[in-house]
Amino acid sequence: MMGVRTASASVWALGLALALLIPLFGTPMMIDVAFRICSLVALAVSWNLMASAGLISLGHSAFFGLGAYAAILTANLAGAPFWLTLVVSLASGALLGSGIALITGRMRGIYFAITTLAMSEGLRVIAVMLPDLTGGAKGAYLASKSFPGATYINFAMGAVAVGTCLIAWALSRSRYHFAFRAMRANEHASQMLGIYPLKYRVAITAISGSLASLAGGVEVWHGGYLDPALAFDLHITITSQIAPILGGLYTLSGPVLGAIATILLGDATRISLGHIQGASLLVFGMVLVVCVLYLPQGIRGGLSDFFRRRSANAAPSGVSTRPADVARP
Amino acid sequence: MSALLKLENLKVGYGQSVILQDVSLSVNEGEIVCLLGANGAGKTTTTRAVSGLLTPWSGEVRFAGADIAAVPAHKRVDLGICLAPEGRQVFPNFTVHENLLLGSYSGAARPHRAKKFDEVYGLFPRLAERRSQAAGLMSGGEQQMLAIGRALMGCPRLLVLDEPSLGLAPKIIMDVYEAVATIAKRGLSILFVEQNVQAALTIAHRGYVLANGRIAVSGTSAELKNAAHVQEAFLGKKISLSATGEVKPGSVATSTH
Repeated sequence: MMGVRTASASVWALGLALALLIPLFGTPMMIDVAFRICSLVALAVSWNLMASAGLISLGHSAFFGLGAYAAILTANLAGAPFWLTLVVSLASGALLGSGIALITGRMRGIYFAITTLAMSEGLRVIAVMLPDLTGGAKGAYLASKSFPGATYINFAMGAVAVGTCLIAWALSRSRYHFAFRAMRANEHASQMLGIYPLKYRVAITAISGSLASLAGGVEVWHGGYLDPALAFDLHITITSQIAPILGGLYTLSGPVLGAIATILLGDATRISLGHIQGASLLVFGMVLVVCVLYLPQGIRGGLSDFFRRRSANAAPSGVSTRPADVARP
Repeated sequence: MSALLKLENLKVGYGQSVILQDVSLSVNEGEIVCLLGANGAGKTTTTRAVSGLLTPWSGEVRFAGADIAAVPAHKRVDLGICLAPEGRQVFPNFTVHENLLLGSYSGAARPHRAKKFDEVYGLFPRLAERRSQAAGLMSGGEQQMLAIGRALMGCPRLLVLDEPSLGLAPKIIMDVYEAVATIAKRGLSILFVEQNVQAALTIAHRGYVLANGRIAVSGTSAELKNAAHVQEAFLGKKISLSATGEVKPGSVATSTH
């Protein structure tokens, strides 16, 4: 259906164009929300990349935190400019990603997930234990002489989000997409077809890790302060998987929609119920449960069901025998 | 005829336990060879050693003259060893077409993709009909055809089939066997594992019988059909032999069921 594809492409383009205006003309609150959405888009798309290859990460905060520390340390100790610290962030994430892929070897599923969780906690403890370098639990302030300006940093986070989506899109169009899906379905069988799983594992964790680290790097320039609890916050890990699950796993647009929904929902409940201790989180959690129950394919799946039903009413067509997992945005 | 695949004194196992001891067998160019044996005899282990999923403890795996014992599984596909594994292992969430596409993922197979699609869809019209259906929604027989088709997409010189008749209705088994025979007529070498002795020997040129991790007996299909050893290895029983060494008619049939 060409019509739907062009329509959704133009909706995305329009949304992107409008989003570009926010750092210039938006209110401080709009800018703040947009910044956090962009950060979560990068994390969610990155998490979804690994999940697409059957690698469930419970340690995305490890990439995020390492990237943040890489940026603040190169800025403070070496006096590196903004963009250079981001290159270091990117490289550190790629290194950690490929490292974890090599160390875990053939570990899959829950074993891989536990390892990533431990990695994040381990890095947090290391950051606390090295006060001379990281400032320890007290944290550290970014002390750069070449601060590029808030608008510049906001655009940088936007660029990271868009770049992450472009990489995911490019991968989804390439033949590697099939290798990743095959690995997720059955790593053994994929090997029998001439796919070397380790190669793709290292590649996807390196790409995914570097993107998450990049988001961490920009975030530290935005906040100007970093401590281990902030860098390796479990909340980062959780939201970076809630967003793709809420939006639609293994799809391109799912994590983006999920990130937008997660941030907006979180803010809405906090603003409306923030005065009652814990109530906002409770409602946020209940909304998530309802979404998972009634939108098992995520927001993206719900939307495409809705449009399919509408077009089916207009002109009945053949029933698709492809399961939702096969669907591509 | 030169040997395309040659296993020599192969010893393979998992962890501490030895599964195959001293297994030697060969598959010549253009030949169909079947590997028979009871449950736990080591048939699947042999196919794993051939396709590289297991590394032999000792012994040689020679393919087209070269020792490939150290070549990893994914590279053996490039050499031309393609496996349709036990239990089919198709990707259930992929469509039929995508499963086949994955079969030609290896660098060596990719240039021949279009030709191979024609060949596989010609061989299994059923797959062509169902090309956009998810593989997990197909019947066992169709999935087996898909598993064989997927292996063919990898441009094999040696096709390894692990129990293609597993869990299939007798009528479907004959369809699958017919397809295997057709593939073989086109000059491909085939090594296949079976429990279904009678069916296997009707299409194989030669056969080996595995028992307790060793080759108990080997020979041409005609020889094996009559050999007492085959019955023994399968039924686990001594059967009465006539003075000429031939199986007495009726003695097997009564002890099978």
